[in-house]
Amino acid sequence: MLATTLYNKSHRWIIFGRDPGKPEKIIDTNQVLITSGEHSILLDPGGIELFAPMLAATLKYVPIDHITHIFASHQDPDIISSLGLWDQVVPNAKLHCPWLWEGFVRHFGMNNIEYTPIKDQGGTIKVGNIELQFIPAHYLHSSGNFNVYDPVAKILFSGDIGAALEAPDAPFEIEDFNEQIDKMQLFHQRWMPSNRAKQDWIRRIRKLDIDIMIPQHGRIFRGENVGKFLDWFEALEVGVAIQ
Amino acid sequence: MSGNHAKQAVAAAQIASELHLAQKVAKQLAISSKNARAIVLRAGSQAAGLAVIANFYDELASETISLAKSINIMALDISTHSVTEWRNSVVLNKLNTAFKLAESAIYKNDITFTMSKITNTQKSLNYDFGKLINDLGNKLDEIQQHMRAIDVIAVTSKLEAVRTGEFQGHLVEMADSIQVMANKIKEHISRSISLLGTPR
Repeated sequence: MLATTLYNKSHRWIIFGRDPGKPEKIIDTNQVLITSGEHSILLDPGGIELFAPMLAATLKYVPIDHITHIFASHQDPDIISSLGLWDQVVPNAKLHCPWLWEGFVRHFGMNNIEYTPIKDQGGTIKVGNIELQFIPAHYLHSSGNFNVYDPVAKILFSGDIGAALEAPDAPFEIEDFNEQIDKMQLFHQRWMPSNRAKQDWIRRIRKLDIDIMIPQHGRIFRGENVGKFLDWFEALEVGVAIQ
Repeated sequence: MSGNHAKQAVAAAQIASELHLAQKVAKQLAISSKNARAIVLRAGSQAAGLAVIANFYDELASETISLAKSINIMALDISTHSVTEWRNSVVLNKLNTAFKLAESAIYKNDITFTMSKITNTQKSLNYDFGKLINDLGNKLDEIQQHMRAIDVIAVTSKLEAVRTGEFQGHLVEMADSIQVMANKIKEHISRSISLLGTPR
């Protein structure tokens, strides 16, 4: 599992992905660890098959009992099917996930971790000394869906928004935005069902100060690529399965 | 390891299903034994010897129903137990892999505590599982013995029926059907016992 530190000042953002041991037919995912003092949060920690390499990678940065929070942007297996395993190793952690998915996400196995539902309008969470914001991104691509924004590091974890289907050894960062479009287009057109939801999200996101945007699949957007993405996404017609 | 747990869970669920079928036959058996008693009463003094036998049928059928019920619950417990063991063994397996992968990780020893905790839980689950399996085996044997007893009684009652004159035909027919039902239950129990061989 490759790891890259994206921000390391008062607190730290680390992105994990491109696991060389990943089974061939599952989609490559990005996982994120944010650490602050003796507290850490894992964002979309991944599927069951990724649990062992993810845990091993995480232990390079934090002691196990420092993982006090887990965030799941929505209910999908590539996001959180490892929950039943994390439940055994970090039994005192809290899971932050849209309220809508509680009855579904619990099917992944949850005997110890506490489910902390996120209300539709979002909210904030303190992890160590930092405050993170849950930004609503409903219907993009799940009916209850959130992004995570850190106003100090100016980083947005955008879940499936900005995602691209990539080769397993693709770099973490976008170099040429135009080259990235082909890898993103169908994903957004098909998985995002609502133009109205898309415009609502863009309106919210344009108000934020973002240096880095991290999707759950594909490459990260830095600097002007963030704005390029918002412009491109704004013009894109989504929900193409309905002809 | 996980494969065994999966087999155990499936075998226990299959036993529960066999027992459910056995229980249904035992209910029919209980009705037949009541019918037998009614005929014996009508036959009066000619069938005095059969009255005890009819009561015996009834008792054995009722006991079989309640045994089958309790075994059914037990089999479902075993199935749930196997799934818990299975899940724990998956966690343990993943933690072992993580431990190996985390060769250079500063905090890799953090997970050894969880690993030993889960190992201990597995030991205790294994012990409980062994106990449950033994109890289940004993209860299945008990039903098997009941069915053998019913079989013997059916043969005896056919011999006794000779003395009942006009009721002989009915009683023999009834004893035959009771034997058929007892054999059906025996088949379900035999299948359960052979399934039990998988988890053992």
